[in-house]
Amino acid sequence: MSSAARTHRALPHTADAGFVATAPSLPELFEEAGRALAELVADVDPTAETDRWEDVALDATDLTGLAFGWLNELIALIDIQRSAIVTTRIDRLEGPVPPVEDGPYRLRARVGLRAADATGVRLLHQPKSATYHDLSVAHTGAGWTMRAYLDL
Amino acid sequence: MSRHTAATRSRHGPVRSGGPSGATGPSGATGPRAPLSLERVDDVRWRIPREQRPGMRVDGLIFASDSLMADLRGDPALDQVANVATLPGIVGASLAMPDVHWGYGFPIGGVAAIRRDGGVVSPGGIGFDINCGVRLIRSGLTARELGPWFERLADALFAAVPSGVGASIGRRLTPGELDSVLLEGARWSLDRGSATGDDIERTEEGGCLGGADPDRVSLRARQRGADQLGTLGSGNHFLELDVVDEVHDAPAADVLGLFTGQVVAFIHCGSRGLGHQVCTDHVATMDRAMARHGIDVPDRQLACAPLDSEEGRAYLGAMAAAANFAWANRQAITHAVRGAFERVLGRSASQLGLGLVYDVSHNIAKFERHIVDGRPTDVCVHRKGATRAFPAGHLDVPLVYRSIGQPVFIPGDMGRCSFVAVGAPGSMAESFGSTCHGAGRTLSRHAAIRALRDVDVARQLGDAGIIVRAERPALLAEEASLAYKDVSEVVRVAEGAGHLRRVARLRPLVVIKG
Repeated sequence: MSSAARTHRALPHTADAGFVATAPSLPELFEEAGRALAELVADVDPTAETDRWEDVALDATDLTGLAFGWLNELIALIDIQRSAIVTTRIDRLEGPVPPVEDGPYRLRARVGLRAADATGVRLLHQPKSATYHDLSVAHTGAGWTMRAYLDL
Repeated sequence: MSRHTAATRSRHGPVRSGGPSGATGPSGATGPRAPLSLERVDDVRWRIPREQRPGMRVDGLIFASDSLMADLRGDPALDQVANVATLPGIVGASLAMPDVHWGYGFPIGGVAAIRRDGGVVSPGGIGFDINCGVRLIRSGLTARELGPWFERLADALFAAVPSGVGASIGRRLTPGELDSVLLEGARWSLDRGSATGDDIERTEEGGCLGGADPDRVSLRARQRGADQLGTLGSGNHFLELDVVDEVHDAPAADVLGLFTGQVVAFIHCGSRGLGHQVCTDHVATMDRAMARHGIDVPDRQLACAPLDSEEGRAYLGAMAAAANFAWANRQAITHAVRGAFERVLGRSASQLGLGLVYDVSHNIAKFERHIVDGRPTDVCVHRKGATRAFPAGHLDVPLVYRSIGQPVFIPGDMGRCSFVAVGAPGSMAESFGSTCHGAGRTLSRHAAIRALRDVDVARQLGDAGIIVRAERPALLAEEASLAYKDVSEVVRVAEGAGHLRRVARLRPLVVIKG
C-alpha cells in the first residue's frame, strides 16, 4: 500500500495536543497514529537509528479502547525508557471489521526507540496520557481515520 | 460543614454557548448537541438548568464575570459541566470555578460532590496529574537584600531540581522505597531529615492521604514514577522565587508570615508519571466495568464506578497512593530548594527563615461532610483544577491558621502575578469548600509560538526584571503571559462569590520551568 496514503495532522487545542491520522488499513492507521504521537513528543533525525525494541501486546473490546490502549502504551514506554519513538510496526491486528463495532480486538506490535539523550533526538513534550475525549476510530470510504487528544 | 440547598431559580436573561458536544458514542465518535442556554443569576454566577440536557441530575453553576464568560463561548467546558451533572449520586450542582476551561471528562476548574452512599467516583474528576498542587515557602529575606544573589540562586535552583521533559533524579527508587512513599507521603521525608514537623503540619492532610493502597498502583505506574521523585516535570509546572509586592489583608499576612518585599519560593507540580498512569489505568478499568454497574455516561472520559465497588475502592486506594507520591515529591523539591539557598548564601535554611507556609492540592478527591438539603451528608468531593478553601474555624485547617482560614494559592502566569488567599465562608455555602486554582489558558501552545515567533521571550522577561531558566527555551513562548487569562480577574470573581479572601499578591523574580 502506498505510504503516501498515510497521513496525519495536528488538531488545535488550547492547552494540549491532538491529531487526526488516516491510512488505508487498520494496522497502518495504528502505525500512523504512532508516528503522529512520536512527532509530538520529539524531533528525531530521519537518519537516527533504533537502539532498543519493545514488544506491545494489547487486547480490547472495541476499536476505541484499542486505540486508547495503544497510544497510552507508547506514552508509557517513552516515559519509562526515557526515549523517543523511531518507528512502530503492527505485526497483528485482529478483530471484526465494520459494520460490527464491538470486538474483541487483539494487537501485537514492536516499537523502535532511541534514547532521549542520544544524538539526533530532541525531546519536545511529555504527554501525561491519551484521553477518551473525542477519541474515535472510524472507517470511511477511503480508508480509516483516528482522532485523539493527548493531555500534556 | 457547608450548606447546599436546592436554590430557587433566578432568570436575568439567557446566554447561549456553542462548541463541540464532547459526547462520545460507542466507537468514540462525537455528535452535535443543541447549544446550552445559560441563565444569569448575578454578576458572578450563571446557571445551566438541569432541564437543558437529558440525564442532568442537578443544575450546572458557573462562577464567571462577563469577560470570563466571553472567553468561554465556544469552549467545550460548559458542555462538560452539563455532562458532570449526569453522574450518579451528584448533589448540589455541577460547579465551575472562574478559571474553568476545556478538560477531559470534567472541565478543568470543575467541582462535583458525590453522595457517599450510592454515588460514584470518576478519575476524570481528579485528572491525570493526581494531587497536582502548589506549595509556598516563605523566607526571612527581602528582594532588595537578595538582589545581587538572584542569578546565582537561579542557577543553583535550576541545577538542584531536575525539570523538563524526561526529568529524572538519576536513580530509581527500590520497590520497598516506593511502597513507603506511596503509604507515607511527605512523612517519608521526616525520617530522612528532609522535612520538618512544621512542614507536615502545614501540608493538606499532613502530607499523607489515608487509605493509600500501593497494591492498586500498577507496575507501569511504578516504572514511570520510580526515578521522578524530586523532579518538577514540564508544561505549566514551575519553581519560582517571587516577591510579596502587595498585602491586601495585613493581619492574615502576619499570621501566614508574609510581608511586603519578602522573597518566597513557589512550587507547582504533581505526581508525575506515576499519577498519570494511575488515572489512565483506572479510567480504562472503569470504562470496562460501567455496563456491569448499569452506568452510562455522555462522555467516555467520565468513566466511573460506584464508590463501594471493587473498581471504586481500587481507584481510591491508588489515587491516595499517587497523592502521597505528589506530596513526597513537593517535599523533596522543598529540601532541594533549601539546600540551594544554603549553598549560595552560606547560611542554614533555618537561619534564612525558609519555612513552609502551606501546601494545597488542586487535583484530588476527598471524603468530607457538607450540609446538603439541610442535612449533614458524607460526600466525595471531586476537585479538578480547583482548590480546597475552608474558612476560619474549620477543624481541618491547621491550628496555626484556624483564626484566618485555610491558605489558598492561585498561580498566574510567569510574567504577571499570583495570589495568596484564605478560604472564606461562601465556599462552604455553595461550592463544597472549593475555589479556583489558577489562570487557565486562552491560546493554544502552537498559537502562542506563532504569535511570539519573532520575540525573545527570555529577554522580554529579563527586561521586566524576571530571571528565567528553562530546559527547553521554546517552552517560554508556550507559557508566555499572552497565552493565559488574567488571574487577577479570576481571583476577583472568586472573592466576589465569597469563596476566598485575598491576602497578598506575588510577583515573579526567578522562574524555573521544564
